Amino acid sequence: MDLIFVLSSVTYAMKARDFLAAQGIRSELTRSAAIRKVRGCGYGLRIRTSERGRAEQILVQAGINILGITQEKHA
Amino acid sequence: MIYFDNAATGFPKSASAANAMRDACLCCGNPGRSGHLLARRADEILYNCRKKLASLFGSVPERVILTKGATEALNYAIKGLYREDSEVLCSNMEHNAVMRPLQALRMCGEIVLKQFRAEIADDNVTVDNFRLAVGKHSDMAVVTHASNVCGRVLPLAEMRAAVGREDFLMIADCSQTAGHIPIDIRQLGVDAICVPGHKGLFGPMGTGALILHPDRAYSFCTIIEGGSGIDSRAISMPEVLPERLEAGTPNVCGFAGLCAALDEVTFDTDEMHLYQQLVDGLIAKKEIRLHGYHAHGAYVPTLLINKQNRDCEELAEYLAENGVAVRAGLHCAPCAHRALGTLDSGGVRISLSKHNTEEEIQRFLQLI
Repeated sequence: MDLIFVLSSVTYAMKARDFLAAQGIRSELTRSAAIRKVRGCGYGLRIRTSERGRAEQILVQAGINILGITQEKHA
Repeated sequence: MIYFDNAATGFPKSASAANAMRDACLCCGNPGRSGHLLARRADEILYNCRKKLASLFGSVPERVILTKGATEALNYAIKGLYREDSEVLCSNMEHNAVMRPLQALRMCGEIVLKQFRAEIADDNVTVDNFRLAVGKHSDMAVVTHASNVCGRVLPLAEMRAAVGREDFLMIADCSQTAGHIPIDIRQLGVDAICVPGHKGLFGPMGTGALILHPDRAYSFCTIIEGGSGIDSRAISMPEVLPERLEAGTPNVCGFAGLCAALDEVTFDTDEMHLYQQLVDGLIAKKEIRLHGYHAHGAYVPTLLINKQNRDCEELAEYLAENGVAVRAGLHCAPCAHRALGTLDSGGVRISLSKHNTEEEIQRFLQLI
């Protein structure tokens, strides 16, 4: 399973991706169906479940609002 | 061709900017709407452009609203941030991109508009005039960073500091300074800066940005509503910036060009050396009159002249016939011309860039 961090917009998703990358966490921009559960349509970042805690901490410290976290099965 | 019309648009654009535009045209989808490869490419272009603009002007990517130019940025800032029945200040050197949105609000009875006098010869007087003009009902000022007519830079940081009040909004029209002098929005102390992509930044026409202070909160009314790629079920625009102010499909090709052009921004002092050569050469000519120039003032490399007994349009035509591009007339800034005493005559504006040379200055001085 991967996690999807749902973010406010594509701009924030890309900013979040940059912050995570700077801390060595790989993430991928997505418009996964899982995001629709949270906010209709929008953008999120797909990250490994094992990175959740550190990723959340990094984004909160960067002032990036995480609207929700959903799970997504591997394709 | 000697190109001295850089205050209208920077020329020539670079090959890398043109190539980036072509590549985007051939390889991109609609950004912010889909997750496929072509859309992602467009997303990256816009985000990189925001990042570079944020870095250049001291803000953060989500506070960079991409627009079709400084005029659109000014309209978003003015009409999105003004408060009803408030008093709004502007200088007597403003371009119509500032004056007309303000006048439109004034004519609808939304604001009271008050002008203060910028003093060409003395920044301290300008700061005093501004401070005295700010009344208890004043809550916004929209001021040019440098005149598009005579190139005089106004002391915005000192003006903002003189007001003191934290709730006072200040919008800077940086159309003539962006790319010519370093600008940091925090150091300037203003809330918003409006820049064209195509002048001193040498991006393509049809690009610009509204850049907001990174640490202050703003509540924007929208002027244009439409698709944003997020919150599609909502009947109104999303609250989050920059998407709140970016309805519809953006000019990805243009911003690809601007993004490439931003890599080439340098604050080279050569253009100001050339400017000084030009000023000195023109002052030495008895039949030439410089308007709005003062030896101790700060300037971008733009100046306004007239020649004795010669209509400004005729002079510009003569120069064009001899391979020199300048702009004559009122430069969409009648109030600035009124302030400079050239409202009836107009004038010939000469505006330089980093691409001009000493040989071009000498050739121009011979021709004039």
